[in-house]
Amino acid sequence: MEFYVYHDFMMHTKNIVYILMGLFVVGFWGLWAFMTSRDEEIHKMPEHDKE
Amino acid sequence: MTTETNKSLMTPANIITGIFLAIGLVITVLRFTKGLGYVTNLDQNNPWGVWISFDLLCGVALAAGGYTTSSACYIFGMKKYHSAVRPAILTAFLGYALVVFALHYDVGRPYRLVYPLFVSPGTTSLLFEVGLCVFLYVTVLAIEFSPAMFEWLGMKNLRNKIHKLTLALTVFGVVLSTLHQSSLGALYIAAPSKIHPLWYSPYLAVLFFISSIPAGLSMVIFEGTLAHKPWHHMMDKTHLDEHEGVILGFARGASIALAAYFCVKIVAVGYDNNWHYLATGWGAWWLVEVLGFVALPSLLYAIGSREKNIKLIKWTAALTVFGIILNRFNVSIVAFNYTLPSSQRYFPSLMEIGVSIFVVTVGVTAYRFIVSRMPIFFEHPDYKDAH
Repeated sequence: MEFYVYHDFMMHTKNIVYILMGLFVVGFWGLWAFMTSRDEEIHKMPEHDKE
Repeated sequence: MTTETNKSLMTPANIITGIFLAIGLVITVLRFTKGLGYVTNLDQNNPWGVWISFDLLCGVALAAGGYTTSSACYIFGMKKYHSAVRPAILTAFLGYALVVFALHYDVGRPYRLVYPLFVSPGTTSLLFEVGLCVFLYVTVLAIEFSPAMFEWLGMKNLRNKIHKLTLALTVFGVVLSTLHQSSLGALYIAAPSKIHPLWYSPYLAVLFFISSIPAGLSMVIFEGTLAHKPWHHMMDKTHLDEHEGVILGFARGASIALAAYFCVKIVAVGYDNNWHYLATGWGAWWLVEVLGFVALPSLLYAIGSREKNIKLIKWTAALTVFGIILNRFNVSIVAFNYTLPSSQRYFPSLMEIGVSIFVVTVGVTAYRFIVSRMPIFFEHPDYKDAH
């Protein structure tokens, strides 16, 4: 892809970065959900089963 | 609890330590009598070598456990990590003290090391800022560590006075760490034409700071793992009981921090539109670093934290520590001066590597001396529940 003026370059890279940031937000949510999923299972368990 | 002082000094660890120290002392004499040119492969193209890459950049990043652990405990109120604070502060203090120690080998006239601070401060220079921060932070760490020493020496009044400063020192330490961890990366922003575009970024300061967080957390886990066996007899019940919780909590923090670091690394490539470099040999090496030593440890930490797999977390900590070292070497040596022909590229001399090993050995020896005597892994009986 060729860029004739700096504005074109900035528009292109900023657009890509905004898309990436959207993906990262979803990714972070996924990572956190994965990491803490077992915690929720422990919280849901009856008191006498937690040990 | 027993101390090591009763044991024989002729142990395998002591003999190896003695050999490394002896070799280091010989190189030290050569360095200060015959000059930098005699012991190093540094030249006009490569004035900063392995001493900067390993002793300084890696040393500072891996000593970040001090500010991360103390801020978790004292600023964010996570008291369940309290038993990890003293070992982390000790590691940070020794790490920074050794950075300053190693710097004496690297600068041409070490007796003028204080000049930038007290004689002719260059306030517009990033190096001035790094120097000032490291100078202040070493002082802060020395004060933060001193209660352990005063408890050992039985100096109650002094210990109690300094203990009251804990929160202020922690805040000061976080501010100073944020400043100089990022400034070390910012130093390399001054060399856009020398560093390969995949490693060069206007975000280098941000990258260095963010990566210092998982580096510090991983180093606390890694160092705790190494210390657990030889000093198990020095650890009290609180330390042993909290050990697993510290590892699981730090693994979770390191996973998130590594994920954030990964994101900024990708954004840095996108921001400069450097995607095409990924299809080159340099790109393959960059992918090894970013996928193998950033994304993979983040995922492994998440799995280890989820499954409560302590062994996996400990191995991941070692992988992360290696990854941070690899990154600092890539920025400051491997991808630095990448346009030069291979005959002019820098590779450290054996004596440079010898000095780095010597510096690490001095640190390990000091660490062994301190934890064998002072209340690092246990609470002093006179100050139980004083936190």
